[in-house]
Amino acid sequence: MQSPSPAKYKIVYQWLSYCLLFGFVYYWLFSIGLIFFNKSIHKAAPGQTAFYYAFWRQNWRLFAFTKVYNRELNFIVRDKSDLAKADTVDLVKYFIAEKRHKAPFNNYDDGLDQMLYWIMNGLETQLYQKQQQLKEQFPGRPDSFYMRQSNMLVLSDSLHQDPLQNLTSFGKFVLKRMNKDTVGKEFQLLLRHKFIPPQKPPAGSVSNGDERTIFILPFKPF
Amino acid sequence: MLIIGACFVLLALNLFGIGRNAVSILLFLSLTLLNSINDRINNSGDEMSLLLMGYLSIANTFSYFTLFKRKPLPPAKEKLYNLISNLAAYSIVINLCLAYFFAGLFKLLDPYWQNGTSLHYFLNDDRHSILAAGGKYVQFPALFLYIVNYGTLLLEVSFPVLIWYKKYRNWVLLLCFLMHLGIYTFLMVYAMSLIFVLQYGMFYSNEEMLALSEKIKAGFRRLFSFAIK
Repeated sequence: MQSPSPAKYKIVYQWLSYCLLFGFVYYWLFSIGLIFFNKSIHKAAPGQTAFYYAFWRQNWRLFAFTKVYNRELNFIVRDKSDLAKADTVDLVKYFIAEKRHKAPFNNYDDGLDQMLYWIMNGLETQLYQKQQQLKEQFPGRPDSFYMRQSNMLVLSDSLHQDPLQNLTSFGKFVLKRMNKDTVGKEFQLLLRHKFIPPQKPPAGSVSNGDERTIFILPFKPF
Repeated sequence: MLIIGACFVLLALNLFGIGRNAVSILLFLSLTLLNSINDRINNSGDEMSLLLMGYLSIANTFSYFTLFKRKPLPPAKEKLYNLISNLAAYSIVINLCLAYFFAGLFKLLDPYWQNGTSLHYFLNDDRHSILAAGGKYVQFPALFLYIVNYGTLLLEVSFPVLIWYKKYRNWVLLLCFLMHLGIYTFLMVYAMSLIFVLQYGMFYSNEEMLALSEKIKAGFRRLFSFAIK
């Protein structure tokens, strides 16, 4: 059998080059399109979008959102027999301190901090959704009303307890690391936002100075 | 554990150029899988690393520092391979330009970046800022905050344009390097800063890099001339 002539190979390679160039241009147009017209492209090409996100996920909102408060997640542990004996650990500060201590080789602690961050986001999203429902049902009430009611709704929502359970697990994990005894004790979770001056908590919110209370988990036994 | 083990093996093979692009592509796929399993603990540095891995997996990165010398392909195939390599290199460069541009654009949509107070809040963000350790309140002069705030916006938005002019390139890269140095030092964002800075070399041609390398060698020869007989 005779081998194909060089001219045929040349055409094949030429067309391959055109395909590569086309693919290159298409890839960049698709990437820019996803940044600007995310929902439209999702709708128009769901398969391609899923494939793209699987391999080339990009999010360039680097420091784009300014956070005007710091979060505190207080894990309060007290003796059931002597309620005055209580210990408080701020889980957020704990992991930040661990991260700082081991910087810049702090990937593990950074990972734990990130996980805690996402779980807290999950809880806050739940609270926010409940508050939006309450605002529709009961408009014009003070912020403290929505905060307390949304807290109760989240606590009674037995189907979506994952963020709370995960935060409790984080607290127990930290106590174990700190070699703190939990026998005969009960715990409480308190989520707060500490506003950075000159920002202040919104009027009518459950706040104390620059700190606004977002969520309170009543005391529970270990 | 299987995926982590596979990643380590593929990394070792890729480091020595064994298996060339096939191993690179497998490494990219394994790292993507690992990333998707642990996507909650990843950051922008991890995302950028994966993208770079993807582009480099199809490029010719096996001409130097490999265990076995690469045999040249037939001319037509070599031309095609070069084209793919060049497209990968352009992708890296375009990606970096887009990253900076869109980072700047999204910042412009934030009211605190618009009014020049954003840096004040980032420096007081105790999750990132080393200055705000233990809940300390950090205050910098307003002029400094405004200069850095608006300077960052201008730098990021103009990066994709100015970087292509030789006259401004070195200045733009120097300012970006200083910005990342600040982020690395004060905001505890390590991987992202390193990954971004590593790509700056892509904006210089091979001849410019070789000329720089000759300058550095000449400098060292002068410095250690006492030891040369």
